[in-house]
Amino acid sequence: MPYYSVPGFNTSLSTTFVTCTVIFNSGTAVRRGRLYEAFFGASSAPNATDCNIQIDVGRTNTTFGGGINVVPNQIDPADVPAVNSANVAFTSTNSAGFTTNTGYLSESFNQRSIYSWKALQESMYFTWAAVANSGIGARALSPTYNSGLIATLSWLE
Amino acid sequence: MMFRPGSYQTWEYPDEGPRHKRLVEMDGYTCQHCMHNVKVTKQVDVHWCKTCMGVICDRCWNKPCSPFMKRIEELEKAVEKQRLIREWV
Repeated sequence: MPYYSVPGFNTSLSTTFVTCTVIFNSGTAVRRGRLYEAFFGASSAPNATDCNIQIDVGRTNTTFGGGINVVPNQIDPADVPAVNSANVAFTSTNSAGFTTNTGYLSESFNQRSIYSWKALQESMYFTWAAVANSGIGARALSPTYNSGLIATLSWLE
Repeated sequence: MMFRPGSYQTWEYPDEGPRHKRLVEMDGYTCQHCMHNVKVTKQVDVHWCKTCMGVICDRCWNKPCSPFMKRIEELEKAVEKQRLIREWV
């Protein structure tokens, strides 16, 4: 199974969730994906008022507009291109498409810190179905910090 | 910490403060029924489903066995069935 990664980001966090990275099945070709690593960290200078950043990784079930479509990076360049699509850098406050109450990974970290999650066994991967529009996404909010956030997701399919 | 953890999380600060270390590490696992991440602390009981033998969270404990991989496979089969119906009927 080939491994892929998307260096997702969002340039302006808000007090409500903004979408950073979404990986989803689009088109006629679909393939089951398994998220095994997530990495989050602020990409701009911290706010003068110390605050936290809250992230949420959850299942998505619709096509996503408003983001930039990017080509997922193959971890091994010899692998075939990814079947799943990836959208990053959503400009609008976009939490639509996230299935309610399916936040698999909801964490909070200080704006000056970085947070990472890694699954160590295949049974612990966050899996999404090989069905059109099915996918997984990362979104974030912060009460004070309103600059950029990096949300890198790595998966295999 | 947990023997053979399923997942691993870190919070890394640029410096060490009065309320945090420079690197905070925590073991965890993914609930095999609802796919939620669970952090393993001293206060958290790790539950096992006696039907699928998967590690599960507090919310799924004492509820009917419903592994997420089984639900995903059922969804994929249902969608494939619909596709075949559209093609052949």
